[in-house]
Amino acid sequence: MDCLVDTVAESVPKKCQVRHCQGGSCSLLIGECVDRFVLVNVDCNALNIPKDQYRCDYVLVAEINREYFVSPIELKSGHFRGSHVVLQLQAGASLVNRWLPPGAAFRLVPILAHQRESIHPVELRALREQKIALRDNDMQVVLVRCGTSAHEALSKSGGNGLGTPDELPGPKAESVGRP
Amino acid sequence: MVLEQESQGPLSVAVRDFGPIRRATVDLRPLTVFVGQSNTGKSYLAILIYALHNLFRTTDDQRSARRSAMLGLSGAPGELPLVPQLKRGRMSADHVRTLVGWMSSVVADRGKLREVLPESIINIVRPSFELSSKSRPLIENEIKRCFGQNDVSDLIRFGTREGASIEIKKVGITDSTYDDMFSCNIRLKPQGTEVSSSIPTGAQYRIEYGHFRKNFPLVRNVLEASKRIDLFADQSRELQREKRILDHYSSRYVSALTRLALPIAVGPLHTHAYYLPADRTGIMHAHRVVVSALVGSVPTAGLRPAINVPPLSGILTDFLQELLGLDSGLSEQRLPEDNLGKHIEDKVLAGSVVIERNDGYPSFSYRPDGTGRNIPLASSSSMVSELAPVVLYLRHIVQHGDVLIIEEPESHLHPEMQAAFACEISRLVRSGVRVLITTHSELILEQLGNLIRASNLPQSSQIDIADSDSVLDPDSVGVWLFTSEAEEQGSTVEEAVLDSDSGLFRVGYGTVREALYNQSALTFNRLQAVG
Repeated sequence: MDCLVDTVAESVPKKCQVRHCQGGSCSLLIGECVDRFVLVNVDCNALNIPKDQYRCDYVLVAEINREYFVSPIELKSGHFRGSHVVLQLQAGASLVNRWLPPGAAFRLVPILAHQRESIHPVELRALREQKIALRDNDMQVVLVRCGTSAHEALSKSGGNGLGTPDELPGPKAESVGRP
Repeated sequence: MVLEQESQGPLSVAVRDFGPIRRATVDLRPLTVFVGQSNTGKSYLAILIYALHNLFRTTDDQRSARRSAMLGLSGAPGELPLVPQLKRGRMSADHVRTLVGWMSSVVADRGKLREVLPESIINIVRPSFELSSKSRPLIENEIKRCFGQNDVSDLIRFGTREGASIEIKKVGITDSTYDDMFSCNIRLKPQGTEVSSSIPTGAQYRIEYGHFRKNFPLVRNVLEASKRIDLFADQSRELQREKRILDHYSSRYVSALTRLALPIAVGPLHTHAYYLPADRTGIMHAHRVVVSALVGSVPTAGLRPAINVPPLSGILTDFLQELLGLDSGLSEQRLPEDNLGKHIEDKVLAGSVVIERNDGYPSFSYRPDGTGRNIPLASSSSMVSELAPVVLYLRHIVQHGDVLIIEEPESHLHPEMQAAFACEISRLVRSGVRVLITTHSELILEQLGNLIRASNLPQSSQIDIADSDSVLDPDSVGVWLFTSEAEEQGSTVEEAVLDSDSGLFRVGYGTVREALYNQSALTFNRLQAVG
């Protein structure tokens, strides 16, 4: 088994794996333009997350153009606090850490999908100042609009946004393997 | 004189194909804010509103007469520039009879606090509000003058064949129902301007009884003359004399009644408006040079080849004229307690704006608090030059009820001062000065949003959030978003909503802010990945 997506899929209870990313009136399109993915509904009881713990809505592990992406996803239909979202996404990153094999190479792209007309500068500052950490990754939350595809946010954070393939220091799908 | 709530129905100005604007309808509120991208017509509409004020304002006082003369709008002092150009000739016998009958009934029923003008009386007043072809040049010229255009075609949206239209509509509120009170349509066409206006049938014009008390000598003269008429024989000289007296006093009373109806008909447009253009800072520095150049060119006119000097717009020349008239006896300095600009000097400028007249022309300087030293405005900070005209206008010119139009009040102001100045704008509105601003400032809008939301708190809970005299009633504010529409080949205008959660007006700044945020996120994340 050399595919990170399959590795994670094997580690997560099947009943928690879903195909659609939706919460309230907010949704995010995943399937389009993503080669392979596993989407985990974090509210799934089988994950045994205590109710009083922070959690995000979904965790996505996807492969696009031979790159792996790990995305804790929070969907917000209405008002939100930036500092609270950071805690939710960090909880999602910590959760997925359990399922990732040691040495796995991936890009972390924490995603907040929202449908606010305008986000208060204070909330944006909170999102800007607090990063999401997962292993060697320490990343800023990326904003997308509800109803759009996650592909753009992922691909912009991936190799295409980092220069030519030769310049890329990041991981390739082939190099990912289970120990 | 007019019951306040009855004169407060909204007045809307709607335009089509005017300048860069495809279509827009805005209500004029105590605080009106125009926001949106550049070149969408914010200043265009603000200038038009200024021109409409000049056309519809009352000229019952000396200030009005002086201003009319200054702007070249009207001949006789006390004449209204546009509405109503009352015919002071003989009233018809029917109208006099109707008027006397109505006055008798009202005087007999003194218990009434207010009176709805009956349709028969409205019919007497109505012709004064019906603009005729005689008004057309006055309207066209004033609009052209304010924009500095020689041809109305230059004010019509490019590619439009039917011309630009301007519609003014006043609505009155009676027992929660809306009644049309007045409407005026102006159509600017290359082949000629068309105007029409009317008070619709059934309009509810309410006046308070105090009006009769104030005009009691007139009322008494009318009623007594009408009684005396019955004493004389038909065709007698005495009868003719009494009829002339009755006609004279009746006409004067109808004139007074018309002036009373004007604020109800055109709402805030009957007040004086003052325009502070976006380039006021430069004018504050250069006004002496401009005036010197203009005056200096006069003796040589005709002796040298004509050079094509672009005309200054009316808003610039009016601004220059007002500056030159400051502290010259043409304007009156407010008493300290009524000086609306003093608070801005204290809280924002931390100093005062000083006018000196050494050679006939005013020069302006800034005196920082506690220094006793005057610094010429040109050597002061840009913020001082920016706010100096606001302070001077509020100290010498603008009165309660007037409209102050300020283009981009955020110019040259540090963010902290932008927020502070938004509070001063709010304070002005609370004190009774109507304000219209065009702005790109997110901070001014955010501060206004805060002051509006604070109005939902009990006064005791507003402490540390806003001064009680700067909290804004939501109904007193209208924020209008100008959006460029490629499909419409022009801009459209809609009222921007205040988001109750974020406290921000939905004016599209969030999109820019979010794009910048995501740019920072991608940059940070890529740096992390590369590094």
